[in-house]
Amino acid sequence: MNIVLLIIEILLSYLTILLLYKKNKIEGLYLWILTFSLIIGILSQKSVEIFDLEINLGFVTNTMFFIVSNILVQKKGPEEVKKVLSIIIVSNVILFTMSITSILISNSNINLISNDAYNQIYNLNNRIYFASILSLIISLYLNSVMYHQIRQLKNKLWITNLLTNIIMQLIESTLFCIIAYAFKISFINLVELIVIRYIFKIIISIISILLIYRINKIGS
Amino acid sequence: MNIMLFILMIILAMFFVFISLSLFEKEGLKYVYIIYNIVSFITSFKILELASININASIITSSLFYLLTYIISIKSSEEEYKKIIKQTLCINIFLAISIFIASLYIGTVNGNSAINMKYLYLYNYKILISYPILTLVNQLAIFIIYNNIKEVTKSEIKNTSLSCLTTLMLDSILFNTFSYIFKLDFAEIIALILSNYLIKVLITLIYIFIAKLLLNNKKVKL
Repeated sequence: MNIVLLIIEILLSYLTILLLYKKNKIEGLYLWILTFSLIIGILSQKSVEIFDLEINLGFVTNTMFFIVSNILVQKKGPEEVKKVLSIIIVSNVILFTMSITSILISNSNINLISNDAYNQIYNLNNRIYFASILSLIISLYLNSVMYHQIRQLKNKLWITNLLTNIIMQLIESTLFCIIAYAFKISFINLVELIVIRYIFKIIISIISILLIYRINKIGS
Repeated sequence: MNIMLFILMIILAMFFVFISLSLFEKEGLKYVYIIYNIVSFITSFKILELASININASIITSSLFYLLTYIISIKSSEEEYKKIIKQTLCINIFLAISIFIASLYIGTVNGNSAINMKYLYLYNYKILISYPILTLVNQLAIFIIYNNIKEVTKSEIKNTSLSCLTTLMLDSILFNTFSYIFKLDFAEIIALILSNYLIKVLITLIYIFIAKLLLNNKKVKL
């Protein structure tokens, strides 16, 4: 069941990016960033088992952020990532402020189960939420710097994307797992989580190179 | 305490509009519009109790969202407005599908986030379906109502108030009916519609001066 859902999620991500880009060009990519930066923190909180390996959801969306960011750097230059990061920060600050204030206000007795579930998802002590946003922001920034430098050395689309992804997905996976789980689980389990996340993300980013070529074909 | 927090939410929501406008300049209005649309969507799953009145948690952000819809409908051409409506619909559909898929994943045994997502999103699947459709309906309604009222009165304040108040009524009725039908009692739904509408009207009246500020500011454009 989870594998089928994973395939649907990957296909849906591709379709979303492609459709938004086809209809709105660069603006469409920013809309994608704006939309999915608001749910990545929520998705990351759910841990699932895929091929008997435990992983936090949201890793597909997270990997797509690197792909979209690379497309933007490729088309508009490394300065664009500052705007991407500002969008992620501003949108999450707004979401966080609004949801936290709504948690602090008393629940209604109507729809009580859902109200409690809402409060737990947007809990202030939620390390995973912060981990997903923080690791994304740091690694996206490093990714843009690295992508730009590799591009100056070797301007081949698949080489630059592959190299940056191999390094940046490792940094992101490590950062995410450390912020979310350090001192909460054993060191061995932490390393295991990092490796699993990294493997899944690398596979998705390799497949996603096709998406970059497809978008490049559409033109700007 | 609850009322204080609610007032704080109103002030902060307004503050973020100006932050976004100054940070993203000409794209600021569109970005904050999309952000409030999504935040409204996400927070619409919770019902709050404010001074013994039940209201939806998205009440502030959705009031601001419809006010911004009104401003955008005035500031943009018909073509641009159609484009924005299409973009919002597209985003809301993708968002609803993504949340739905994420909720369907079978969670690990020791994690309770899977149960929380199930109780929040799958138990309220009607919100996932109705929100994108109703947002589209209300966006179209604002445009139609504004253009009709424009022919009757030239007063900016009257036009803003009438357009927003009519759309808010439509939104409160449609959203609460479609989202909670067969789930809550008929009396509870009626009470929710009335309380949501009254509070939304109050919030919109507070926010109307922002609308005036944004409408008169020539730097704010799409």
